[in-house]
Amino acid sequence: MRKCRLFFSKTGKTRYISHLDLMRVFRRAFNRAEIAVAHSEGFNPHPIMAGLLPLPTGQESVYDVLDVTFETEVGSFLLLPERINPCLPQGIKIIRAGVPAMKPADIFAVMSQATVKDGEWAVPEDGVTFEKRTKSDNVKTITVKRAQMRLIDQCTLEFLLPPDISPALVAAELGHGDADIIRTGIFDKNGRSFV
Amino acid sequence: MCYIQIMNNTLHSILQRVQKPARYVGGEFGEIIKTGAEVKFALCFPDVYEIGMSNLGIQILYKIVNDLPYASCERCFAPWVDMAHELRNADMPLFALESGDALNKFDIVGFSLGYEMSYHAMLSMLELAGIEPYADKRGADAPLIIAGGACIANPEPIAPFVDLCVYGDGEDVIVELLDLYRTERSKQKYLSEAAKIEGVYVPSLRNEYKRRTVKNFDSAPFPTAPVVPSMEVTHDRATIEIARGCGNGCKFCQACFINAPVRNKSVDTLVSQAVDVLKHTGAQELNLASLSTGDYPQLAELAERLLDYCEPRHINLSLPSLRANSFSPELMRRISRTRHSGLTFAPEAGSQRMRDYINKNLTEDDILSACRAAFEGGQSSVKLYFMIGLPTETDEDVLAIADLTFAVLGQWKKFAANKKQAPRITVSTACFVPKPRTPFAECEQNSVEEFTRKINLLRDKLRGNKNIKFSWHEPQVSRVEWILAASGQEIAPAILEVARNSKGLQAWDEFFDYTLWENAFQL
Repeated sequence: MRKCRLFFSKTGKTRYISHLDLMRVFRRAFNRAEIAVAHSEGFNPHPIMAGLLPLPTGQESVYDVLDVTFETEVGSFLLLPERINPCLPQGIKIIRAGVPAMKPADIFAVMSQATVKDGEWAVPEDGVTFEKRTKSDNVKTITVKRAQMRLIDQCTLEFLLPPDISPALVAAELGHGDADIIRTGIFDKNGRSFV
Repeated sequence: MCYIQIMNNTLHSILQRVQKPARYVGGEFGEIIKTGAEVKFALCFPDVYEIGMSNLGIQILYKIVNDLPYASCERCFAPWVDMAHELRNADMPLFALESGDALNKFDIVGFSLGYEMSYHAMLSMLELAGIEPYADKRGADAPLIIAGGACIANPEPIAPFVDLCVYGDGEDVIVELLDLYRTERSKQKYLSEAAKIEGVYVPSLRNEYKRRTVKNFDSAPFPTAPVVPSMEVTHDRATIEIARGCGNGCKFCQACFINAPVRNKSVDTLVSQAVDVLKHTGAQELNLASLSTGDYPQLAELAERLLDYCEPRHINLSLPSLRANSFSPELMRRISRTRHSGLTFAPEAGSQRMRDYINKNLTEDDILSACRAAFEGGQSSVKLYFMIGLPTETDEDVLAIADLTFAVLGQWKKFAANKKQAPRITVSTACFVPKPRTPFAECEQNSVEEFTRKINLLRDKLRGNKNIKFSWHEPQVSRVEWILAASGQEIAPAILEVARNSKGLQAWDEFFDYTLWENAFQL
């Protein structure tokens, strides 16, 4: 039994696959590749796998992470992408597989790019502050500083946000609720890529 | 920005707003993309993606057409109400999943009609695609609209809308129809040639037609590499079709009469297809499709060999509950290890008199002894399916459903190995719909009020027992089903009227609107 961390992209048509369905897609891909996933003990065993930072349905990502424990002896993790990728729908692609080095709690910031189709971004110099209703119906004030945003070109704005703030929400606050969003990176508090 | 780009941008913003956007994009594992084919065929299913993608017929035809070097097959499903609304607002025609091309860009658009309540959805799909629903008003440049499926047992209600329809097995006919299209593109000439193909009915020519059966069922094309949905669908499992047709001849059952004769696939073929389809889909459950799996002659051998593959891989095998007495105790143990779903029976009628009358070859003893075996094996839930409103039915026959239910509960009390888990007996009743091409075709259906009275009678008798759960099919729905199944062409305008005024898919409880149908039928 070995725990493995898969880094994958989810682009194109697969962006519309919900997080729950994505877990199903991976389970079937592992079955096709004849790699058995370990199951939890107990009355209702479930496969031991977890997407670390569920992507909202409709967003793309080139930096998505799945932790999975294999029952099958899979050999070198380096060869896993080659083995599993032909078993995945086009658009989901494992880029790298490795032994988890950081803990999920180490995730500090998520980088995304938001592209608008018509119009361009206007970024206020003092950043943006807005209120968000939480699940428990409290109101939370969210501040995104100017330094957390970077204009790549007129149409594309890059965000560096804490994992619990949706880039779509910030984009909407800046007047572009229908921006196309792609996640490009995940970092720890020292600015190292999450591995 | 080119047209395609604008369409995609519009589509993307629409997909951000609708429920389950994965229904509308394709891109699944096993999807086949062919560009620039000589004959473009759109395979349409008049219900949502989750239902259509669970339909074996769709997967069979998808494979057959895409296997033809000159043709391409793309899928299109009925949009849910939110998506239909968005498409109308954006003035965007209904499109097929593979290329995103609008349905009116196809050469042939085929609908699978398995349920009368989806007739109106076919018309909605045509109108959403900007295609005139009435065949005689469609222009020469419109696609050919064709239909097949169980409902073609009586094609008249939808005949004014289709250029042709296919009665019987579709495997061979679809190839003949596409072949013909390569050489004959003028609609009039095409239809008069197509009318000569066995199984094809061209309503505008009112030709004589016969039901078609596939030449060699064992070697018939089978989709061992189907499209595997990325989202959860109604039946999330791998399927092999072990037999077509049913030899039991229950008098109410249309499937029996329109799929005769019984044809079984060989065990070797089935095991090989099962392994292929499981490998391709990565599914955790294997389903044996047929009208009566218990009647498959080598069921024990088939089960043994499938279990050899499934057991070590933790793949569930759904096997029928009946005819268990032909299995060895060892095989029974292996089956019960892989089956989680509990027992299911369809006695159809409560009294032996009625079961004999409808030709349902099942005795109370058969049911009770199978229940006993299951309860002794530690199971505690049983599902029982019945019909009410069968011809000659009396109140005694209705109440006999309750008697049989109590007898099953009695078996649990006597024989249950695991008394800690409370028994759960689920009783479901459907309202009898006289179907075309059955011995009961000419029977009158019970009125909605009579159905309701009988349901209440049964409910009163079953009431108060917390181990029994009683559910029933809505009589009003069954009434509409019967009118749609049994009518002629005069009903067609009513179907179109419902298509235009329905808030959603009428096959779904939340959208079923009896008043709308009553007004359309002018009842």
